[in-house]
Amino acid sequence: MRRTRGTSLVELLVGAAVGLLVLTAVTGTLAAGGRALVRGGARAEAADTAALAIEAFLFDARRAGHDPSAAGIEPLVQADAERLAVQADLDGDGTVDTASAELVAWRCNAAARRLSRLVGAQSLPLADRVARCRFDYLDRDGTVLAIPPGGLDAAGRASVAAVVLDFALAPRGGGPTVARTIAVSPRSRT
Amino acid sequence: MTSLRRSHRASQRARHERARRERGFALAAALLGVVLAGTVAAALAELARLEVVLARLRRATVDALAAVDGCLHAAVAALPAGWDFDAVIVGADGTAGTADDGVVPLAAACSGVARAAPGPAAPPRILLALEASRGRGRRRLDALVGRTVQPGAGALVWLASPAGIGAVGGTFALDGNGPTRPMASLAAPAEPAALDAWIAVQGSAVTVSSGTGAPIWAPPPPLQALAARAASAGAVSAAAGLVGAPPAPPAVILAPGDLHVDTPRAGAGVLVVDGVLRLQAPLEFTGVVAALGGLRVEATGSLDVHGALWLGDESIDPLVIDGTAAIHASAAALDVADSLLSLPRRARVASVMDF
Repeated sequence: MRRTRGTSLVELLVGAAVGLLVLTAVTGTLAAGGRALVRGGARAEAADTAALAIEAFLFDARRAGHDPSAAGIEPLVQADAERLAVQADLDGDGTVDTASAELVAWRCNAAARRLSRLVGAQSLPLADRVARCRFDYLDRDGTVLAIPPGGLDAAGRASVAAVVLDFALAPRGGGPTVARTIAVSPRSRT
Repeated sequence: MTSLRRSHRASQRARHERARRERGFALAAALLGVVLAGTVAAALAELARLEVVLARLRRATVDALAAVDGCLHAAVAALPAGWDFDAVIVGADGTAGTADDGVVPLAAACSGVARAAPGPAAPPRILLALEASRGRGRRRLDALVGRTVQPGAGALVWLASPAGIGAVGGTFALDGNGPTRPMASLAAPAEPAALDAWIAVQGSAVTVSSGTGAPIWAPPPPLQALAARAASAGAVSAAAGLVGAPPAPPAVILAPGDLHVDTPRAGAGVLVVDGVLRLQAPLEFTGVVAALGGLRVEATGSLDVHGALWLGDESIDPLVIDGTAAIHASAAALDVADSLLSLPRRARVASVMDF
């Protein structure tokens, strides 16, 4: 009876120590896995958001200047480093309905760290936690146009052959940013 | 003794029971760990699977977009050069309201039709509705197709057919380095690589200036229609339009058959030869020289053009140069020629609207 109790205590202590070690190792492994899961999920979410933004930008920029009735619709309405507005006559009626999808604006809001798409009067936030966001404009020769305060004037906008959107998103919870750059020609000028 | 034996058995049972309980706890702990680790692994695997599915969808979308863009540009490149799109809208039978209205040649996996664009007739344009699928992706777009701003094919020499252009016995200089944008050396309905090869084979007989664009594919020039337009525009004869020495007044000049130049001549504007242009003496021209039957520069002849040279395929040898020939890019000369007689242009994509 005395031998049994003594063995039980030693066994209990050793077992507790071993159990603690095993538990620590298992917990650490599980925690690392969980962190990887969270990090991977956040990065995947940022990559998905970036892909959606790229797709939407491509969609809008390709449409810009669509003018089937030859009404003289210019593709770019506003062009500066933080804001881009494009227009198109989607229904072919010769006018741009500014309250509809015929006028789409993109805005890099540095203060709010947000990239937004404004369709008509409706604002659609595309991405939050924007670490970097900027529009640039290239001429026919691929030269980056200098953007004066207030944005490009009408002549400057007319000389734009391609619009570049460069942005980076910070994943939720930190980690390396997801950076994307896309250049789209609003309208063929060849 | 019996009591001692009973006590020993009880002690053994207790040990076995405790050992069984301890094994059970370890197993449960291990199972719990496995379940937790499995859950994390399964979540990671699901996340990866989801990303793969999304990536596949995006790839299918991008592939389909590339496919429909490819269809569009191939279809537009194949549209005949000209002044409008009337022939495309009414179809091959020339009658509106029939099944071939708006039919354009399209690559496999593409479907679409052309229709007149809304609004005024000028500038000439059509709406091309296209759909293409590749893999699991499918994309649709409406493209507005117009004519190029610059007349011609954007090349110094525009050939109706690459077949029959033979070896250059004399010299042929191609200078496409214009002040605004470079012009291609050659344009023809042929693989540009074949035109590259022709230039390479000529060796030093053909010189291409630095800055000249590489040969390009283009539909044949509509020279018969150009000749008809020149006749309608009240073109002057070659005898009246070509002078002994430059500068020559810009004019639309039409030679109804072959044109033989056996004394030095100069001209400007548009020269349309409804036959073979045979040069036995120097000819200087500023503008567009179009010869439906081709060009023959004999050993005593020479041709110097600032503008463009367009050659038809109505003879077996559309381009024979035993003397010297030089074509220099000149956007100003083309503009003057275009102001005298509206020149044909290639089709181009003006804008697209994705759906």
